[in-house]
Amino acid sequence: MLCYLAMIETEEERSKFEKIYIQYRRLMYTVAFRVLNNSEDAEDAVHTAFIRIAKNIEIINDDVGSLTGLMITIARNTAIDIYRKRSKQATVELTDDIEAPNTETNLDESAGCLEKLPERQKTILLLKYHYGYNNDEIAKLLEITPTNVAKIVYRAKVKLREYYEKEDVL
Amino acid sequence: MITDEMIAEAAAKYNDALIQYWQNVEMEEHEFSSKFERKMCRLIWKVKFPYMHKALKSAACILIAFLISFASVMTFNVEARAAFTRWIREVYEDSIVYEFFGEKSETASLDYRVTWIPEGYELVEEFDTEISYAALYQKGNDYKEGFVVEWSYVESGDKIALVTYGEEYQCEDIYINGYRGSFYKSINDNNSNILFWVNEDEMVEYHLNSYLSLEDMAKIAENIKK
Repeated sequence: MLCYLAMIETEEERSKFEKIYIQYRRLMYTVAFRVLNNSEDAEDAVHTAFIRIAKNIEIINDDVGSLTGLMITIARNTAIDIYRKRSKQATVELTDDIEAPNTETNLDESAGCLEKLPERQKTILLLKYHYGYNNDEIAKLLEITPTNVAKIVYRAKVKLREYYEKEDVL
Repeated sequence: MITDEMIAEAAAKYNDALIQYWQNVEMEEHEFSSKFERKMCRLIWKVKFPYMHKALKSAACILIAFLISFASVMTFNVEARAAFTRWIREVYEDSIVYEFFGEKSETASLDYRVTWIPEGYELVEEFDTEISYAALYQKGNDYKEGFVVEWSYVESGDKIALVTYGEEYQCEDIYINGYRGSFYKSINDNNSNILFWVNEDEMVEYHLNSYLSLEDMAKIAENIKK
C-alpha cells in the first residue's frame, strides 16, 4: 500500500498531485456518482482513482486539455470497477456494459463507432491511441495485466472494424 | 483496413466530445465526508513524505498504518474489547486491523504537540490539517535515526490497518497517559517498531513508527500534549 507512494519523489510531482486533486476532485466525484448513484461509493471511487494517479503520477501529463479527459476516464473507469465489484457481492447479474454518458454532440461516424464499443474497450483505445500510453502503462493505470490489455485492444479493433464496415466509414 | 491513425483520429474526436459533455454537466452538490477527507489527507501526507517512505521501503520496514474501507483477507483472531470501549482489534494473516466505534466528543481537538524528543533529533517536515497531524523527525541522514508520528480523529466505521506482510512482531499492551495501546516490536532489526494508542475520550488515534526503543518511544508518546 505504501510502496507506490515512494514513487512520487520530486517536488514537481508532489505538487502536480495536489493540483490535480484540488482541481478535479469535484468533477471526478460527479463522474463517479453518475455511475454509482451513491455518494459513499462515489467517494470511494474518487479515493481509489487518486491512489491510481499517485501510483502513476510520472506518466500523467498535466497539460490542462489532456488532463481533463484523462481524469474523467480514470474516475469513470474506477467507478465502473467498483460498480462491478458491488454487483458481484450483491449477486446481481452483470450487464456487459454500463450506460455511457450520451456525448452525442458533434460525433462523426468514426467517433460514433468508437463510442459504441464496450466501456473497457473504449477506455483502452482512448488511453492507447489518444493519450499515447503503451500496454504496460495502461495495465498499471487500470490495474490489469499487460496481456489483458493486449487482448482487449485486439478485440476492440475487431469490433471497431465491424462498426466501420457497417457504417461505411472505411 | 483500420489503421492506427484512423483510431487515433476517432479517439481524439471522442475525447473532445467527452470533455465537452462533462463541461456542460452540472456538478453534483456534495460536501465530502470527513471520512473521505481523512483518507485523502493521509494520501496527500504520504505523498509529502516520500523520503521517509522510501527509507521504510528500502529497509523492508513494512509495518505501516493507513485508513482502509474494508478488509479483504480472512480473519483468524478477533480480539473484542469490553462493551464500553470503542475499538476492537482483529488479527489477520498479514495485518492487524483496528476498528472504531462511537463519535468524537464535541470538545475534542487536535491541538497536540510533541514536547519531548530524544537528543539530536529535529523536525524535518510536518503536515497539519483540521483532522490529522503527521511529522517526521530525524537525526542526521540515516533513516534509522528518524521517527514518524501521526494522529487523527477516528469515527464509527473507520479502520486502521497495521500491515505486517507476514513479518513477525512481538506485541505488548501498554498504557500511554492512561490510554490503552500496543507496542509492536519487530524481531528483525531492519524493520521499525510501532507504538499505537487511542485516546478514547476524544476518539483520536496516534501511532509512532521508529527504530527507537520502547522506552524512548513511550517517552515521546507521553509527551504529546496540548
